[in-house]
Parts: sequence; structure tokens; C-alpha cells
Amino acid sequence: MQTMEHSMLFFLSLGIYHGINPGMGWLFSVSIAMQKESTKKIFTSQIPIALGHLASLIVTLIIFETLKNIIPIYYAKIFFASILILFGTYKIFDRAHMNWVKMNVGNRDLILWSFLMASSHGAGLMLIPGFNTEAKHHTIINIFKSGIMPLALHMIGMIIISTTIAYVVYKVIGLRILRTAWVNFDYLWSYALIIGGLFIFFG
Amino acid sequence: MGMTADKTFYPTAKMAMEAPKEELAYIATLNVHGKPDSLSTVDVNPESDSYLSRVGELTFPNIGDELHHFGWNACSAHLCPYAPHPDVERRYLLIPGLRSSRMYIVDTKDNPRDPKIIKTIEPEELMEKTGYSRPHTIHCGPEGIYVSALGGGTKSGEGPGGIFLMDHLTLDIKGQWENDRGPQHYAYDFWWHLGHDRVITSEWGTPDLFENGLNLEAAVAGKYGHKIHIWDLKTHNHLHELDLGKEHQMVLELRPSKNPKNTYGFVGVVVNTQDLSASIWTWYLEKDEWKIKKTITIPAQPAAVEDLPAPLKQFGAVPPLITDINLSLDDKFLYVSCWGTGELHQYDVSDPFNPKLAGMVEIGGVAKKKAHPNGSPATGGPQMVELSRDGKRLYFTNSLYSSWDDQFYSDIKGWFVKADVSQSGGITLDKDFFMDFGDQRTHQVRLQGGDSSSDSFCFPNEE
Repeated sequence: MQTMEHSMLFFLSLGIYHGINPGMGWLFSVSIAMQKESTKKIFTSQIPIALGHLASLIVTLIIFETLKNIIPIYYAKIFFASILILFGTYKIFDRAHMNWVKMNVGNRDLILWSFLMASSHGAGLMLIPGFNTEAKHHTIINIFKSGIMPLALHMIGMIIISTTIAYVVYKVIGLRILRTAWVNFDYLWSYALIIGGLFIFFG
Repeated sequence: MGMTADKTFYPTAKMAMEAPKEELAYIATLNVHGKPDSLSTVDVNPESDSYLSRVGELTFPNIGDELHHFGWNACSAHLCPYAPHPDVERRYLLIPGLRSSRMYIVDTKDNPRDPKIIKTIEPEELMEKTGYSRPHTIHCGPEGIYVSALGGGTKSGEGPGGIFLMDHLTLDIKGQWENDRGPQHYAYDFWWHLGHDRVITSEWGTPDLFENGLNLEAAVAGKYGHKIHIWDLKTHNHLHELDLGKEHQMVLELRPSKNPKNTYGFVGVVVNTQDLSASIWTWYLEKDEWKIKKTITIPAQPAAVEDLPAPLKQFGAVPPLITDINLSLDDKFLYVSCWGTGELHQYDVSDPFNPKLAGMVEIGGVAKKKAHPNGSPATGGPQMVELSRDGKRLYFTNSLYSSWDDQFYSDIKGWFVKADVSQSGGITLDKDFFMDFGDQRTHQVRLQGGDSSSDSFCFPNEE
């Protein structure tokens, strides 16, 4: 990323992108609100979903920073680029379902569900092109400092979009939109990862 | 796999009623005279030149499969929010042989009139991987295909029946579904309340009780199934059993409310051994406790002894024998097949605890032998019944299970008919719609694009 501003825009945009994906939580919030007949549930269910998503990003960030510290920069770049490209390619073909969660969920279920959805889709990996792949952060404090703004922006983008879509679908548009406006996010997602990988490599 | 959701998927049951009219019907057609069974495709589009003719027949390569029920690989459940994969297509029909324990998977996409076998799961593989045999009901769930099976995993089928899972992408068997089956032993049908993570299963009997025909002594002794079971969809554990009383023999088709918010449903009981009546029961959740009560009783009809087949002569009456039921997608009308008396009843079940008879058609019947309105003689009686998604067209066939057909209707010839449902309730046989299948026996009907018993929904109806 060329400048700080571009980088921050990148994290915010990806947050918006994750928020739009029905597989990242807004659709779950709509169904919970419908099942319980409560608009409030749209907002309360978004909290554990956001926490699970954030937890997945933090885990990825820590792994990223740790690897950066032990591998020479040049190889680290190749490594991260390869991971994104390979994972993206894999996701084009992998369409496995999650089996363990069902419709009747509590907050803990939602946190874990969101964590696993974000992790299995490589939500954190997608952010890597925006992080500084060259500077080393040797301490937890440093990692925290470098990660807090990107993650905060990402989460703000995601929560606002995800909650807004859930609310609008539930209160205004209705579920009919699922029949007409549902593009295959898994494909777009895969290509986003691959493009991110190419960016690290050539960027 | 496409870029947008399969157009036959609907988020809610009520929305699915807006679906376009079906153009093709698939029918399991059974042969009993040393010939293989087949899957017939019938043109049900009145605008078409080939309307009401068999436009395709896929003959299977083995003899004695005894096709019975079958179902789709995918349905509206793929819109469920926790694992949304709407790009999976409703494309393959999974067709089990109830007697052979073989399963055929056919592809309807390239030429819907002329489906092709893409995979056969042999009985040995099915038994080894599932521990079950005699596969029966197919339901597509949000995360895979669920199949019930009536027998244990051996040739003779001893041991408990249950449910096994299949992968909806590879169409491979994944294995037995149950974690802790508790007291459950008999199996037959199953369905669920997706909004509450509950599965309901019912009981016919093990293969020794049905493969050689109805065992009357066993029925009188109360040895067929008379319970339903409630399970946790998350943990795969048995939670409760509800015993209808052992005089209520053979608890078959389960039709839960299509609205995942609700916690009630209907189940049909074939016969009450005390008075030969048949019944419909409503199960429901009340203050965290599952309960069930009888909400419809259909009495036996007296008949002259000379009009009765051997098993019924001693009774001097025809039992209604409820063998199949179907519920409209708006949970408003319940259709009930009385295979013995040759009647198909329509009940208004807007109040699930007080069903009201809203309509009825008569065709066939053990003693009445009522002809179709077009004048064609009709053997057998209304059996497998399927309703179009819009709730306006009711299709049904007349064969139950080969050895049972032979006991009650020794001269049975297969047919396929349609009844029209009027807006305010009431049903009438379409006098132009009678398809004679001759020696082939007709069983389950599935409608192209889905029907009223093919889909499950995760979203409650919008107000």
C-alpha cells in the first residue's frame, strides 16, 4: 500500500465487503429477528457475530506478525502471497458446509460460528495485503499498535454495513431479495484472495 | 453451480406458493412380474402437445428394487443462514429401492424428460456405511441429505432402523446420523422443525413385519410401530418418545408445519385395531413439553363379506387405512389418503387442533370400486398424494407396497390422477386427467421444481 490513507481505505472497504456477504452474518441476524419477532435481535445478534469475526482477524494478525519476525522479508512476502493465492484457489472448489450450528443459537454459538466462518473463508488473510509486510514488530505492543487502526476500521465498516443490510431486509425489503440479488459470494471471495496475493507479490 | 441462487429455492414456505406451475411429474413406477422398476416422466402442462402422456421412462438395470419414495438433492433449505449455499442446484433425484436397499441417483438437468443415472449405490455399500437397510424418505437439509431407513444393516434387516446422512455435493454416504437413539427401534418417516432444531421420526416396523405383507396377527397384538420420537437436530440425540397407544398401529407420514417458527405437525395412523378406524394426530410443544393428541378419526365402513379380500372378511368392514398425507405450504389444508375406502379427504387445519372436513373425492376402494369420472375402472385407492406448490393441483397414485397391494387389491392396475383444489376449499377430480399405467404400479410423485413435500425452509413466513 502506497500511503497510510490508501491503506486505511483498504481496510474500511474490505470491512464493507465482508459485511455485504450473507455468509458473514447479516442473514443470520434477519432469521433470528424473524424467528423471535424482534427488531432488537438484529442489533443484539450482530454483537457476537462481530466479536467472532474480530477474534478470527486477531488470530491471523498474530500469526502474520510472528512469521514475519522469523522469516527473511523477501521470503515472507513470497510466503504470504502464495498462501493467499493457494487459499483463494482452494476456496473456488471448496464448498463444504458447517454442520454443527443450527437455527436455535445463543451468543456463544454465534461468536464461535462467526469465528469459524471468518477463519474458514480466510477473512483475516484478505487483510494481509494492507499490512506492512516489510517492517518487523517484535513486541506485542508493536503488533497491537500496528493492528489496532486497520482492525478497528475493518470492523466499523463491517458492522455498519452488516447491521444496515439486516435491518433493511428485515424491516423494508423482505426476503424476496434472496431470490434475485444473491450473487455467489464464494466465487468473488476467492478471486479477492487471489488478487490480494498477487498484490503482495508484485506490489 | 451458478452465480445466483437456484430459482426453485424460496426463503419461506408461503413465498414458494408463488412458484410457476409444474410442467413435468416424475413417478416411481414399479414392476412385479420379473421386470425392473422405472422412473416415469409425465407431461402435466395442459399447454403442451404431449400433455398427459408419458414423455420419458428411465428403466433401472436391476429387478426387484421396489421403488417407493424419492427426493431431491437440494431444496430451499440451502438458503438457511448458518450455511448459505444457494448456488447448489436442485438437479438430482435420489431414488431408493425399499426392498433391494440399492439407491439410484439420476440427473434431470440436461434433459428433464429423460433423466440419466449418474450413480448407483449398491446395497452392500449402503449397509456397510450406514448400518441400515431399506432406505425410504429423502429430505434435503441445510447441510446434507438425510435419508430414513427401516431396517438394520443386514440382508434380513434386523436391528433398529434410523437415519443416515449423505453429502449433497459428492452424493456419497457419510454415515449413520444418530448419536444416542434412546429407546427408538422402528423407523419410517422423519421431518423437522428447523427453527427449533428438532427432528421428528415415526414408526412402521422392521422388514420382517412388512416385506411379506401385512401380518394381521402382529397388528392385533400391537407389534407394529405406535410411537413418534423427538430428537435434537444439533446433538443427534433422542429426547422424547410419544406413545399413541399400541392399538394405534403403524404411525407413518409426518407433516410438520412448514413455518419454522411453529412447533406442531400432523401424523397419520393406518389403523386402530379396536375398531378399524384410522386417525390423524397433532403433535405440539407446550411449555417445553412435547405432546400429541388425536384430532381426526375416520371410521371403518361396513361392507358385504363377498366384497372383501381375505384379510378383511372376518371383520365385515373396510378400514380407511391412512397411508399418506400432505400439507399445503401455507399450513391451511391437510390431504389424507384413505387407501382402503377409496377416499381422499381434504381438511382445513387452520386450527391444527380442530381440523374441519372441507372436501373429498372418491376413486377405487376395496369394496366400493368407484370408477374415475371419465368412466375408467379404478383399482386400488388414493395412496401417495402430492400437492403443487401453489396448492391448486393435487396429484395422486394408487399402489402402496407390492405385497400389501396383493393382499388388498389382487387385481391392482397402476393409475395417476389429478384433483383440482378450489380457492375456498373443496376438491374435484379432473375428469380429463386419468393415466392408466396397466401392470406397472405407480408410487410417489415428485413435481419438477419442487412440490409441497420436497422443501424445508429456515425462514418464518413474512407477515
